[in-house]
Amino acid sequence: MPTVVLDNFASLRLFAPELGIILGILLLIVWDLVKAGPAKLQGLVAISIVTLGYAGAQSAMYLVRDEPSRVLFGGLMAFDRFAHVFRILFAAVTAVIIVFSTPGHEDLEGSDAQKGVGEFFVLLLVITLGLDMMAMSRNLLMIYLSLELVSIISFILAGYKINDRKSSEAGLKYVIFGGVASGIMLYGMSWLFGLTQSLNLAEISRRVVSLSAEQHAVPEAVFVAVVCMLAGFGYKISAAPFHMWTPDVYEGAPTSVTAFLSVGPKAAGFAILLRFFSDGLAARGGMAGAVATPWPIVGGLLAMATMTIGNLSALGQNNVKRMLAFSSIAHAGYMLLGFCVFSEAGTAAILFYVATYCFMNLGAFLVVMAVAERSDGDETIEAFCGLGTRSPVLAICMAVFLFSLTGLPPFAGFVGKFYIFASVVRAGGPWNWVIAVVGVLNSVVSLFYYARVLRAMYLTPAQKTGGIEVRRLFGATTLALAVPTIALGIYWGPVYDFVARSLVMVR
Amino acid sequence: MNRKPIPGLAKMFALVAILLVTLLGIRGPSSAFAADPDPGGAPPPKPRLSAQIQLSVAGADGPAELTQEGDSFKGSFEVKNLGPGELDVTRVSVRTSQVDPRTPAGIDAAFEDGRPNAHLAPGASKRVVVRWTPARVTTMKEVYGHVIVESSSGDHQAAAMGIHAEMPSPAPWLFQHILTWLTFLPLIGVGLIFLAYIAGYKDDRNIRWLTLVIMGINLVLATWLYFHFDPSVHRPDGNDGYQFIEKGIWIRSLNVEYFTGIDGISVTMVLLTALISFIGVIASWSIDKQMKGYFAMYCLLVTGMMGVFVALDLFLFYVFWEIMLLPMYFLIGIWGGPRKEYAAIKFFIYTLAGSVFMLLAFIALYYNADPTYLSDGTAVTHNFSIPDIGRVDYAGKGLVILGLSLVKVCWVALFVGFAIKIPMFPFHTWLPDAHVEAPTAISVILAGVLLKMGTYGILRINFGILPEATAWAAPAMAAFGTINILYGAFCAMAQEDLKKLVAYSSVSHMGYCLLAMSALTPTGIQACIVQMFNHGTITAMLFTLVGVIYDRAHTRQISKFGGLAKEMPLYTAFVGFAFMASLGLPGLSGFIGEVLTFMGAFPVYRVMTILAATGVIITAAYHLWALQRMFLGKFREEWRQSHYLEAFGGKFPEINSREVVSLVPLAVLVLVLGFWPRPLLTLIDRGVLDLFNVVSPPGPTQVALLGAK
Repeated sequence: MPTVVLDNFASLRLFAPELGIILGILLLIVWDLVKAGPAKLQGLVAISIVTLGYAGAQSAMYLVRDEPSRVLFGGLMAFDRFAHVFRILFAAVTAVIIVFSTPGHEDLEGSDAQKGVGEFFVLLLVITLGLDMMAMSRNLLMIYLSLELVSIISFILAGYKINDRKSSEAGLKYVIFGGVASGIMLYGMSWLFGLTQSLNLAEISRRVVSLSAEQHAVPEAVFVAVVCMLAGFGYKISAAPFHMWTPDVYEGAPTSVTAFLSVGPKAAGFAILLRFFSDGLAARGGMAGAVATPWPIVGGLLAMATMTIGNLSALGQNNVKRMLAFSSIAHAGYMLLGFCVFSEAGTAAILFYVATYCFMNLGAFLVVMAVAERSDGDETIEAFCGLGTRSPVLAICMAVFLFSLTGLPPFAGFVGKFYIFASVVRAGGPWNWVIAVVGVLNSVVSLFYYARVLRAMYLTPAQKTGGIEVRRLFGATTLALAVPTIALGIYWGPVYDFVARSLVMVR
Repeated sequence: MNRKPIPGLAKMFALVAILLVTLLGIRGPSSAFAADPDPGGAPPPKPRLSAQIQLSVAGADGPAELTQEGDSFKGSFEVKNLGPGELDVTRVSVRTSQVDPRTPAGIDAAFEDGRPNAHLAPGASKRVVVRWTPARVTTMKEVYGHVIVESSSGDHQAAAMGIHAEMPSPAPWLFQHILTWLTFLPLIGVGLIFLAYIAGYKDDRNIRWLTLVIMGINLVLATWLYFHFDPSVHRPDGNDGYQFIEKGIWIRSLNVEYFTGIDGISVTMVLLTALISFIGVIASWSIDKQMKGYFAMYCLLVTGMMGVFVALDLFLFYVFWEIMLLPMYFLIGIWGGPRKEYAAIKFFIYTLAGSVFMLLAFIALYYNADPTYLSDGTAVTHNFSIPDIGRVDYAGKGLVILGLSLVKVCWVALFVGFAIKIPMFPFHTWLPDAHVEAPTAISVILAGVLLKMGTYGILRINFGILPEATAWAAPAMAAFGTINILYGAFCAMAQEDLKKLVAYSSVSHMGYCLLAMSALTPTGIQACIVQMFNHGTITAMLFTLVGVIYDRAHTRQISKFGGLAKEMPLYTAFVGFAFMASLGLPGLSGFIGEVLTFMGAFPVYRVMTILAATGVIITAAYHLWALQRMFLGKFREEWRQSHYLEAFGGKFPEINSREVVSLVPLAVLVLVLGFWPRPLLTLIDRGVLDLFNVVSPPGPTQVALLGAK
C-alpha cells in the first residue's frame, strides 16, 4: 500500500504545528523588542504557552481524527502517529520548562536576570521546532539538519549563564563533543549514501535489504556506516561511550536547561533512532528481510554499557544535579533495552517509558531547583538534609520521583521498566536474557544512589532549621508532576493502549 | 522571605485557554483531508462470508451475574452473530471437567430452548441461560467460572463468558469484600493521617489511637474470617479451592487482574498478619517522634503484607511485595537505632536484588503460559493468574533459558528472591542488622510476618507453579534448611546482644520451615505452615520482651545483666515462658512445629533430620544460657547508680500493663496451640493436601490417604 507523498505546498497544511511554532517565535521576538516592564514577562510566557498549546493540541487533533500516514515535502518528512506522539510530548515538556524558567518576582528587579528572558524563550521554542523535525525526518539530510538545529541551540542554552564559569565550560564542552559526534555521523551518512545512492530512508532500506540478501549478511560497509551514525544518535540520547559531555553540561547548565536536555533531546534522539532502524534499515526482530543482522548485539552492548556506566558513576556523586545527570544516562540505557529487541512491544515500551520518564525526571529536577533556590544555589546532597521536616510535601514528592526512577511499584517508573523488561524477555534468546539480567541488576544498583537523597531528606537531621518556602508556581508544578507519577503506577491501561496504538510509522 | 508568584498569572492562563479554544475552533483541518484517499484502507474482504461471535450481558461486558431464584442461582447472556455469514454454535458448556474441576458442581449452561447448540443467522442473537443449583449441603459460597461457547466463528480460541454467583451473606457491609477491606483499610489509615497532616492536626497521640482502631477492625475482620473460613473446602470443590474470592480486571492490555482469595495455605498467614499488626501498634506506643509519619508508614506496611498473602495474581503479588519495602526502609531508617541507615539500606537492597530476578521469572512464566480467559470471559493468550499459571505444564514445554531448562532457572530465580526474605543462609546477613537497629514494633513485624512471606512465596509460587523443579531442588532446599538450623543456632549462641540472639534464633527456626517443606510430604508441608504460624507468635513475644528491657536499661548486652529475676519477677516469668516456647518445650506451640518437621522430614532425609535434631539441643543451650546469665545469679549493683534508672529510684521497673496487654494474647495462643493444635491443623489440612497433590502426583501408596476426605 503506497503512502501518499505530498508536494511542498500541500505539505504545509500538515506542518501546521511547526508553522505555529515559527509564528510564535517571530511574535516573541517582536514582543521582546517593543514591550518593557512587568507586562513584558507575562506576555512572553503567554505567547510561548499559547504557541506550545496550539502545537500540542493540533498534533493531538491529528491523533484523534486518526489522520492517515503521509509523507511530507516530497519525502523529507513523515506524518504519522509515531511523530504526533512525540510532537505532543515535546510541546508539553517545553511548556513545563517554561514554567520552570520563569524568574521569580524579585529576580525581575535585577536587570541581569531580566535581560535574557526574551531570547531564552525564543531559543526554547526554536529547539522545540528542531525536536519536532527530528521526530518527523525520514531523510538523512533532514535528520542531520534537525539534529544540528537542536544541538546548536542546546550549546547556547547550556552556556546561558554568561558570567558563570561552569556554565560557559558546559557550553564549550558541549560544542566540542557535539562537533565531533556530528562529524562522525556525517561520515557514516556519506558511506550509507555512497552504498545506496539515496538519502531517503525508504530507498535506503530497500537497497540495504537487497544488498544483505545478496551477501547473506549485512555488508560490512553498512555496518561501519551505521556504527558511525550511532555516534551521532548516541550523543543525543547520551548513550555510552558518547556520554562524556553529559555530567559536565548537566551540572553547569542552568537547572531548567538541564531538565530540558535530559528529557527533550533524549526523547527526540530515541524517535530518530527508532525511525532510522525501523524505516531505514528495516530491522524487525533483529532481521533485515531474511538475514540476521548484528544490530541486536550492537544495541545490546550499547544498552548494557550505558546503564552500567551511568549507574556506577552516579554512585559517587555528591551533587544531586550531577547524580541525576548520570541517572539520566542510565535511563537511556534502560530505554535502549527496548530498542535492541527491534519489536513492536519494545517500541511501545520505549514510548511509554519516555512518557513516564518525563514526569519523574522533570519532577526530580524541579525539586532540585526549588531546593537550590532556597539554599543559595547549593545543589549538593547536604542541601537536602532534613528536607523531610523542613518541607514535607516537597520531600514526599521527591521521594515519589526517586522511587519511580528506581522502578518500584506502585509508581509509573515501575510500569515503564516492567514493559521494557517484558519486551526483552518476550523476544527471548540467550542474548536477550543476558541483557535483561544486566538490566535488572542495574536497577538494584540505582536504588543505592537514589536512596542517598532519601537518606539525606529523611534520615539525616537538618543542618539548617526553619521551613523552606517554595514558590507557589513550583509547588503546584511539582504536585502536577507527582500526581501522574503515582496515578500511572496504579492505573496505566489507557495510556499504554494509546501509546501502543501510536507505533504507526510510514514505510 | 516569601516570594509571591507573578501577578496576573491566573489571568494569563485564562487567556491561554481562551486562545487555544479559538484557534482550534477556527482551524479544524478535517475538511481538507476528507477527499484524500485512505492509503491504509479497510481490510481486504475475506473470500468467504465469515461469522463473528459476540457475547454480552444485556449489551455490556461480562461477567454474567447469577442471581438467586429459590434454591438455585440463575443468570443469562446473549450470543450474537455480528458477521455477514452464518454462525453455528456447536456447544455451550461450563469450563470444567472431571479431572480438573474449575467450578463448583451443579452448574449447567444451555440455550433458552434447552439445547446446547444453535444456529444463528447474520445479526441474530440467542440467550444462554446459566443455572447453578448448589447441593443441599454445600461448602461453596461463591462461583467464579466461565461458560465456553464453541462455534464456527473463525477465531483462534473459543469464546467464553465469565460467570459469577455469590450466596447472599447476612454479614454487614464491611464483611462483604473482606479481603479487600483487610488489605486496604490500613491504606485508608494512611490517607487519614495525611489529611490530618494537611489540616495541621497537632495532637499526635490520637494518631496512634487511630492506628490501633484500624488494626483492631482488621483483627475483628480476621477473627470473623477465621470462623467463616470453611476448612473442608479443597480444590476438587471448584474455584481452585479458594474462598472469599474477589476478581476483576485491572489492566486489560496486560491481562492483569485484581484477584484475591485465600485457601488453607494463606488463611493462617492472614490471621497472623492481622494479629501481629495489632500487637505491633501496642508495641509502638513508646514511639514519640514524628508519630504521623511512623503510623502512616506502619499502615502502608500492613497493606503490603496483607496484600502479599491474599494476592492470587502474580503481578498483583509483585506489586504488594515491593510496596512493603518502601515503608520498611523508612521505619528502620528514621526510627531505628544508631546504625539505622546502614541497616535500612542493606535490607532494601538485599530484598530488591532478590525481587528483580523474581520479576524476570514472572515475566518468563507469563509469556510462556497457555491461552485462557479473564474474569469477564475475554480470551487471552496468557495471564498472570496463579491458578491458571499453575495449570501450565512448563516442564513439558521443554523451554530453555541460556542453555538451561526454563523451569529450573525460573525456580532458582524465584527461590532466591524468597530465600533472601526467609532469610536463608547465605543471604541472611541483612537480618541481624535490620533487627538490631529496628524499633521494637518493627522487629516484631519483621520476624513475625515478613520472614513468613518468603516461605509462603515458596509454597504458593515455587511449589504451586513449578512442581517438577521443586522435586528437583528439594534435596538442596533440605540441605540449606539444615544449615540454617545449625548455623543460626550456633550464631545465636555466640551473641552478646540479646536482640541479635533472638534474630539468629529466627534464622534457625525458619530453617525448620525449609527442611519441613522440602520433604514434599503432607506432614512436611503442614509442619512448615504450623512452624510459620507458631514462630510468628513466639518470636513476636521475644522481640517485645527484648524491647521491654531495652526501654529500661538502654542496653541489650547480656553480660551487663544478672539476677534480674529478683528485680522484675513478672518480666522474668514472661521471658522464661517465651524462651521455653522458642526452644520447643512440649506443651508449648514451638514444640508442635518442630516435632511435625522431624516427623515430616525424617522418612525422606534421614541424615539431615538427625543433624537438624541436634539443633534442638543447641537451641536449648543458648536460650537457657542467656536466661541464666541475665536473670539468675547476682544482681549487678552498678545498675543502682545508672542514670537511666534514676527516675525509678535505682530499681528496674516491672513490666507495665501496656506491655503485658501486648504479650498476653500471644502467650495464650502459644499455650493453647501447644496443648491443642487441632484448630490450626484443621484450618490448613485441605490446603496442604491440595499443595501436596501438586508437588507430588499420587502414587499407589498415597491414594488411600487422599481418599480419606
